[in-house]
Amino acid sequence: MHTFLALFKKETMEFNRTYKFLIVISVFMIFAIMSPLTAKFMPEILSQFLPKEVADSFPAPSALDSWAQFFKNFSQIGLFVIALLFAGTIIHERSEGTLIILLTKGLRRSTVVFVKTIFSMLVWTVMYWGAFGVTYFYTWYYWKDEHADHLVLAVGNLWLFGLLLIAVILFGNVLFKSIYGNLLWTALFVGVWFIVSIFPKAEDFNLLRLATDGNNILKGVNDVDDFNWIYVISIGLIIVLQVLTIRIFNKKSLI
Amino acid sequence: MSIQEALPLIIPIAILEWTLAIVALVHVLKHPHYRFGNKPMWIVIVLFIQIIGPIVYFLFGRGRDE
Repeated sequence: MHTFLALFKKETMEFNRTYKFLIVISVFMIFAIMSPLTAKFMPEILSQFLPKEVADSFPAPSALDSWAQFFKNFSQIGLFVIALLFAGTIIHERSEGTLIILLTKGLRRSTVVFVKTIFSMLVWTVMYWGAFGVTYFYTWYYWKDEHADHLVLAVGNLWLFGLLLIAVILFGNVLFKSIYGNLLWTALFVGVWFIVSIFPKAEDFNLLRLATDGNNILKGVNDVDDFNWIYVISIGLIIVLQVLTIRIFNKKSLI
Repeated sequence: MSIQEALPLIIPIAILEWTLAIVALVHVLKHPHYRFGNKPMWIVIVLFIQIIGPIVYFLFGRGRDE
């Protein structure tokens, strides 16, 4: 437990000194505020390009539009920023040899992987739900009499997808020696699920729906029962990836 | 919707964007060693490309702290 806390503290300090806290806080907050802003201004933006009659025919923006922007922003840019920030978390340690001393003094490699996973997932969790709180406040402020049903389910799904993506990124960290290799691997992982989503029969197993079905849940098209298998698969995959990461990292040379 | 109605949204975004830009600018000026590029280039990027500029600087342009 003591080594766990010490390593955790080191991760926090490193994250802070490399200005990553600054990046993740400002990006997540900016996009949290941007979501209701874009939704609110959409009619004005459209009327710049479209003839007045066409622009006026669109319905007035609603709370659902604000959440649609939220899902769009965080399933794309939010996750991309997370991938960028954590793509090198173990790769850097190996290329700079910073772990050698600690590991020869008896630190277990599994502890390193475990702490890094917990830290990344915690950053994503705190920042994501913080951003959710900000968007929630503004959506309430601008659309006071509107209420979005099943909001926590929709937002929670994207959160789970983020956790899965972090497990994938950590796995890529021990597979590859370069950050670009890892980013490519992560993109490939998401790409495979895009291909799976072409087949309607695979709908019940398509993990990508965690990130893409937010709007459908709010509209009442999907409900929690549609996701049972997806939850089982994604949580299983997170555990399997974590075990594989530790297994492979145990066998890797340190430099 | 008027600009005034949108102020509660626009002000915090502006504050966040400028905080990022100014922290990055101070870093660019104080640490004149970059992984690539030179000082004038990074000053322009950090100040004129909102959000993306400072992030690119911190993640890819920033030299080692020594």
